Amino acid sequence: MDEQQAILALKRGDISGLEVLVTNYQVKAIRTAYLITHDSQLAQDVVQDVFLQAYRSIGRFDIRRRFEPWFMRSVVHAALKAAQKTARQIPVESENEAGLQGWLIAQESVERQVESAEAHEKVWEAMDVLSPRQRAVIVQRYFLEMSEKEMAEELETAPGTVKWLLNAAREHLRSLLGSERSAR
Amino acid sequence: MSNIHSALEYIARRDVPEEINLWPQIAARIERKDTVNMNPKLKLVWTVVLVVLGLVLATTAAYAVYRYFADPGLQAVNEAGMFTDINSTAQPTVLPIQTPDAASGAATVVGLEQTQNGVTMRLEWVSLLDPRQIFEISAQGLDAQMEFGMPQVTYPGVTPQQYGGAIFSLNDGPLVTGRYVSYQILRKDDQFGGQVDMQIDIPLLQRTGDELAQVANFHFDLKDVQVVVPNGWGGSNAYSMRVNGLEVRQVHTIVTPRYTEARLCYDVPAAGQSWVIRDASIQFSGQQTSGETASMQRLTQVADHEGQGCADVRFAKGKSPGNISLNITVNGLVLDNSQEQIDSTWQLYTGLVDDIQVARAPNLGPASTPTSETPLEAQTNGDLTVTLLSVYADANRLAVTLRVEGKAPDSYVSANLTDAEGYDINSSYGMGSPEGQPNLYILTFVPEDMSHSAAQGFSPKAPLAERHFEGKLDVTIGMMDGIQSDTAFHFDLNVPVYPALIVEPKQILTANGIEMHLEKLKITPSYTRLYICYKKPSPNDWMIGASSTLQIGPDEVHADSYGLVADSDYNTGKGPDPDFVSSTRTGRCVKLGYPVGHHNRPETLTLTIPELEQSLPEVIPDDQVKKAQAEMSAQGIEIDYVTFTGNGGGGGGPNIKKKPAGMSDQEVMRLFYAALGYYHPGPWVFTININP
Repeated sequence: MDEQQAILALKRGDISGLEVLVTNYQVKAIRTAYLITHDSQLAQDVVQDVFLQAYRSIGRFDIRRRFEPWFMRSVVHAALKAAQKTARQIPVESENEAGLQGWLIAQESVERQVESAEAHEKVWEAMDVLSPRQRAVIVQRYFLEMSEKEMAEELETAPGTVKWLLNAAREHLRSLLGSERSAR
Repeated sequence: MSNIHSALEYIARRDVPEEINLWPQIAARIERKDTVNMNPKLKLVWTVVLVVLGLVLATTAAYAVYRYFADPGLQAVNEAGMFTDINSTAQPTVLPIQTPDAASGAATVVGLEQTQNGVTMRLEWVSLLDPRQIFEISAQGLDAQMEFGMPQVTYPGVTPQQYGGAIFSLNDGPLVTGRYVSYQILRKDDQFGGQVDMQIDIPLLQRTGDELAQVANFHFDLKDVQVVVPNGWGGSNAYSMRVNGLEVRQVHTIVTPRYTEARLCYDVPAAGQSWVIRDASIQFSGQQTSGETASMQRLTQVADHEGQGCADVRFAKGKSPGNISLNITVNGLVLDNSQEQIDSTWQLYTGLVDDIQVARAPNLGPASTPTSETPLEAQTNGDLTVTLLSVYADANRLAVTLRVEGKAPDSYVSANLTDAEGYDINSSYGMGSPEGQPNLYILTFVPEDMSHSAAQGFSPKAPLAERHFEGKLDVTIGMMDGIQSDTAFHFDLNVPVYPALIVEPKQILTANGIEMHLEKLKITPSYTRLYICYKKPSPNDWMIGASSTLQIGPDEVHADSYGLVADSDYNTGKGPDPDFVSSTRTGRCVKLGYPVGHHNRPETLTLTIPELEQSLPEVIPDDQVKKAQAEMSAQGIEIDYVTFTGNGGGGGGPNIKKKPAGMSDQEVMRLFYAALGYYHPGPWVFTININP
């Protein structure tokens, strides 16, 4: 069955509809949650809970809306809350900063610095130091590839607010990657 | 395509394979209407427990009867009238989170006051966090020619590391208030937390013409101030920027409604040369708008040191209400007495700090005398109302009932419990709403029995060990976007704590070759915690499965919490548990919680454990899978088992290809796991007569 049929089936209490939705979205949802929580088991737990919540609240879902944004927003939120609960203070050791500084590439933007598997790993390590909120907006922007306008519409807030939040997250990521602008 | 996207895609694909399949677990949870996420894997921390309770509300406004269908423990105490009815409605306190990453830290009330040159300054509170240090002052008696200089803060015997700037944000008026924040790592002897001494010096300056001269210094000497290690990252600040090898740093900034002054230090191209800032400008921004740019009004060179140039740059523009950040642009350097210039632009910014949330915490040591308390900043949002309807506490858990009105659809409710001293209480926490009553919330807190030091921010003592619980419940109505303002509500709690009946049956039962020792039970009117130890069938992760039940009198429930206390095969556990010391030296000991308690009368308690259950490994060996597949095939069931490995890890999962008509996926999976030998049947049935 297609997605709309699956939702309609689920609204009637037919659990096979949920199976279709799980099959369609679980991988993307788990990957999104994982990028925010940095914990694969926690990400799976979060996504399970979100699917169950969707199952319980599907009656209120407007069939005219697209399911994916509605669902992924819940995933991002649930992952963010889970990450905040388990967040720990990561000391930014001076030797780590020195190592990152040593890797410094003189580029104009942080995006151009990320060009290799080694760089991918450094991004991943740097993401670990971001706060869960900052991690979440980075994931929305760069993994889910939402535009700032889409994020603003999705979050029902002004584009300027999204821009500000994203800027803060990028600045922090930039500093952790040891770029020319170091930040706190 | 953005390369950050590439990095995230790479990591996501590496660590979360395409073949992952949550459907069997989800279907199983729906099948058993399971709202408790008991992670089968070995976990040493409590996870959030979701409790769905069915309630029936009476139509009268004066009295509501709640029926806890899935929680006989709370149902019983409610019917017995042991809930403390409060029906207290709190006025909302909106704390706009203008710095979304601001971490709350414990503030220590100080209240020290001094008067010099007709100016009275009061040090209101300090909050020392590992990455950020804050204090707040108030002052009165300043005339129009007076202003404060940048505070100097030192920590005798401690050298902070990784300095990242400081900001002193002042507000005007007959009572001047100011908040100082510095960004640096504060650790005594490289240890997290602990206590430090602190010295604060705040100069008072007087203007005569164009000259500012210091006329007084307010000095505060504090002893043994607690340093807290917060969760998450607080504050947002671009301290320095390097362009073409030259760095400019925003060493510190004073922000007022009338002016802004920043000390900027910068590298010079060659030692011994005197370079100055050619031009600089600032711009304040709010959440949605940016203000006008203002150029520098005055530049005062500060003595060069260590081959760097420094200047205090003043701007005739200050902050306005609603501003959340300050951007500073340095446009070029020029060699003094020369035409040589460097045409680079450096951009720095600072998040304004007026709305960083700060919580209450214990007072200081003997060097200072707190005289009064400073209330937190508060604003109101009239549409949102939270009413605390009732509270119940016993030695095992605390439960509150809330009604939330005016809540937006895309918002959520969260809560935090603190003790009378303001320490967070480390507890697992569950929340549920009755079917059809989305405005009603039942929150249950089951405190950890492990004590945590105050440096970690948790209460150092067992919160429900006394006859009364006094503390605070903080409820937050948050927006799911994580950006819009949260609304906070604060309720003071002072309720009796019903004591526990401690039973140490020391019963040993053997079934199917496995000995099980029921060591201890802690039974309260609403909840039972028990400690049980057993020899495992093999050195693997054998658990007491979700099928175990506890019946007390007429009420029978499944466990809603599980914790590993010790396992001699893994040489691990949660560490010392003040409530329990095992009498066995080998095997495993676990702690289980059941939402049922005694009924204050003699009755029989029955603990039934049908089987032990082994947790699933990430990858099941092929020979075991083949053996199980052969067994299943004889029953008309075909399962593919997929395994995968990668740089970030691996895993596996079953795919059902064929099953008998009418058999559910959950039944198939259970047969599969039984064929793999992951169940060790009992049963073990303990029966105890209790007499509270």
